[in-house]
Amino acid sequence: MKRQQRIRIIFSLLPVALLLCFVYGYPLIKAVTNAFMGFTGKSAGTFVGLRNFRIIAPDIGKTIWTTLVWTFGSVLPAMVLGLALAVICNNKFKGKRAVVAINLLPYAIPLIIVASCWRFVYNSDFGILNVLLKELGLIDKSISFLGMDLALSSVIVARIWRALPLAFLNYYAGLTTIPIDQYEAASIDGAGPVQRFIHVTLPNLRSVTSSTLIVLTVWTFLVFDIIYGMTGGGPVDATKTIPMRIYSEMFAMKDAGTAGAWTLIAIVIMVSITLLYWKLDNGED
Amino acid sequence: MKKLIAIMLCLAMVLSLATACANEDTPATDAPATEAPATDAPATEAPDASDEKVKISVLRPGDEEKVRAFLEPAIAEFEAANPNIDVEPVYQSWAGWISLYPTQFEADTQPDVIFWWDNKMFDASAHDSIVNLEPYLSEGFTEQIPESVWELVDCGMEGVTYVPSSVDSFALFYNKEVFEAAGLDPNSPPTTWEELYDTCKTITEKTGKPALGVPAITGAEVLEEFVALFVTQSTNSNMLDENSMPLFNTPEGLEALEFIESLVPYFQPSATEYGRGELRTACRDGNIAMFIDGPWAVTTFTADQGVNLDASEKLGIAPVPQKDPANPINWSGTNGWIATREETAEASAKLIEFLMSPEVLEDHHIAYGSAPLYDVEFENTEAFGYDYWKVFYDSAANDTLYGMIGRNSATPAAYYTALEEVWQQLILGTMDAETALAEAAAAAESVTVRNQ
Amino acid sequence: MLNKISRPVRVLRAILCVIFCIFALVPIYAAVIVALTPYANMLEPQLYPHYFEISNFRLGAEFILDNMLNSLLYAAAATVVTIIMSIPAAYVLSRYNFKLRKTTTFLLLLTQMMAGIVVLPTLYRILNSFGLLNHISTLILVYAAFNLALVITILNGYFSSIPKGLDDAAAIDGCNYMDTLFRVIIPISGPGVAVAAIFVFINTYNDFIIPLFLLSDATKYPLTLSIYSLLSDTTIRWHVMAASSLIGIIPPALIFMFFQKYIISGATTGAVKG
Repeated sequence: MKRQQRIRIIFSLLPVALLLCFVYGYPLIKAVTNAFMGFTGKSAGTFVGLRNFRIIAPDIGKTIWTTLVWTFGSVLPAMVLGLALAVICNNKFKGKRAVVAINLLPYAIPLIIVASCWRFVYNSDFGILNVLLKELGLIDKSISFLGMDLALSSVIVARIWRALPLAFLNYYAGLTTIPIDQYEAASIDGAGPVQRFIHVTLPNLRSVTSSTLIVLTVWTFLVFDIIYGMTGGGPVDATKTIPMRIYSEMFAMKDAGTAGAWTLIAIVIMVSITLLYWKLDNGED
Repeated sequence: MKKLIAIMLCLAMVLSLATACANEDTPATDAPATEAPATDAPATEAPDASDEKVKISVLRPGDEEKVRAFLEPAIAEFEAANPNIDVEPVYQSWAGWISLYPTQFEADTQPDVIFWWDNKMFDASAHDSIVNLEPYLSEGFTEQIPESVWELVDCGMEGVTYVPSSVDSFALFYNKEVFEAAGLDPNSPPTTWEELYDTCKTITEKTGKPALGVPAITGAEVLEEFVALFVTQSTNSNMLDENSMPLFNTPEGLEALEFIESLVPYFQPSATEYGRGELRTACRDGNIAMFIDGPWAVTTFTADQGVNLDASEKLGIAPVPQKDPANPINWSGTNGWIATREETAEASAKLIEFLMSPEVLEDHHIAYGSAPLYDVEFENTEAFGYDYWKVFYDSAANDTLYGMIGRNSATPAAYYTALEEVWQQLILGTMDAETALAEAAAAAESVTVRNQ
Repeated sequence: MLNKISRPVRVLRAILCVIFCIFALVPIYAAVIVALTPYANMLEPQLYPHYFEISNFRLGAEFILDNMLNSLLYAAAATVVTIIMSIPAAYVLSRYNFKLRKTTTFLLLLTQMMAGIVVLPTLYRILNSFGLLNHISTLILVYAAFNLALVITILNGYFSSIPKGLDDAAAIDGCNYMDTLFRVIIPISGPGVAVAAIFVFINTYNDFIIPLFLLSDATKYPLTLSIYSLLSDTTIRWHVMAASSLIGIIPPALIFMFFQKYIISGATTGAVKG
């Protein structure tokens, strides 16, 4: 019986393990070793130590900063707005189904189409945002939303748009698990709606908040499609996040070494966040 | 609900089975040419030569509709004349092809004959596959193409490896109505740098409109070509030497960048959001006065203004302004045919020669809106009997031409990427000419050094 | 929710709902305007559609339909492959307590965290050296790999909620291992399987970066890659781009509408990436 069990376990997990090793394990190890190998010119195929990191060194600081601004600038607002919407929708009212459905829509759309649609919003000639602002008389010259100064904020708004439904859903599901008697008890103690929100709702949403925060952070960190489709990393280096760097090293420069170096940096950050997630999640059971 | 799920899963199964079956086919190149043009001729003539039929595939990237329009009849005619060669057309958009050709070359699934670029002959993925066609081309073939064009595309490879087919040099497009509104003569557009500057200044001051459109969108390679026009006009040399080291880090190079810097106040706002397409529309609508573009822009305007742009009250096409009118210099990109396999080189050369024959080339140019390359194409007055075509043709035949950057490099695209960051700052006015020159030279060098 | 909500609060709520809905719909509205505008009038500012160029949708459909069909087929195939691979794995993880169980779950979680951009450039080189690029079967397997962790997590959750007593009862009735899994466990976990299937389908349909690296043959492009080829052209055909984007949204939007209940239950596991 024991033996049979072991065979079952092995046979059930083996295909999954093999596929994941081939798609994740091997490439990840390879990317990490590539970070220390040469791929261009004479150095091709040799061990080059930290040379790849030296090549990308001038860009590392700015790129990580841009990536962090992009990540937290979109995750935190998405979560606050998601929570707000979840609280609104936690009551029964006319048209709630429609509100939920409409606000879920961004979550269904392929990221590359998200990028395409937001370009229609931001375009400086026919973009609806510029048209609206002009119509309202707030501006008389188009604002260059995808220009040097605003490009990062503009892609962040697009990212918020896309991430909001996920935060909303998590909070929406989280709110329904809060026992109603806690609210009743608070009301009897004379707590108003604001106090009830602070003392009952928020503490109960702690674990939802931490898991949503980490999931969104990790995914936003490495989102490629939206930026690639909206600005291509430009103008200049305004929206060059780590994924954009990996891509351009790989395809414009055809250098798997520097691409590997960027990947290694990304992995270090990712693994730290995942470990944190793992710890928080298990610490709460 | 359960029923619904069951139905969905069944549907998914069936669909996946369908893919699995559809999947059986092999990579595109060796698939039988089931879609071969439905012509009557070749099918009946086939038997006598069928035992040693050579199959080749051909790719002309771009808008499928336009490509089909000239390529399919051409292939049908070619196959009829060469019954032992089977030609299969492959269709790809430019953007798709640019991002994906490395994979195809590395996997050896690239088409046999490809419409290529003159600056990607040393491209790391493609270089080793490109075949010397000289032994297979008929005598005198090369002489029908102007010498200036051969010089332009010469990248130092042995023999004839690249046959230029479209030579796209720049011209100045301008809106006559805006010129009139600014009190300028719509029939004497600027011909020199000084005149260009004065025209820009007058237009912006008189009309408040941006005078010169600059295509500066990220990742489209267009800005580098705009800047390169002025730089090469000033340095009278390519952007890079044969070792891919910058040639523009000179006082002349600086002069060019300073000239561009002086034009910054007259560029359109939000410049980094504009590609060439948006500039065409903006100029047509009179929102900018001038822009510099290749012959591709002509189709956009003929669609709107009718074919005879010479008679247009609205749009003018003129040679690009020169730094030194006595020694005219123009930027010019080319596309041309390469063959990528020794085994099919002979058949490929035949096809290329056929595609370069005047009638086919003419159809190609008409379908795609390229300027004529051969003198005889002007005999087709319906398509090319207009003065504006002469602007492009004369420039390609008479001017000194400098072309796309990175022609001796394994990574030509990297120069576009590296320089674009600098040029964007220059035209946005956030970096002065001197710094831009130093930064651009450093950026180009660093790409080159990494490939050494 | 306890006492009746006062009028000003109701008004405020209505206003907030409207703002949220406007925010959610603005990009799509902008796409509708562009999709209705003839190319020649593209740069004209419009707050509401001035034109009604319905033929743009014909152009968009012509451009996108084949690729959309590809996308749907890939998504369906990836769904089936992923579910088939995940069921035994999830069952084992939910039923047996073995040494490497914790490590396995952790590694699974890790793969769920890894976005495509970190593994795909290298995977691309590896597959290329084996000549495996540009094959649909490779593509489907990679899609499956990217969704396995998610599906196993969802199914594991469902299986774990089924009492073990049921397995034992089945065993006493003479069911062997396979019988128990397929005749007893899976029928009960129908909703779980459905949730997982829906998410794999949507994730695959929406994915852009995997085919960006793995496919080079335009006839095999999924929808997302064709939209991108429009986006990156030197002269963007805005009208076609808008129309085909809108057409491309339809399948996932319909799925979301019809399966909202399942989506909500699946979302808590963070099921849709990106």
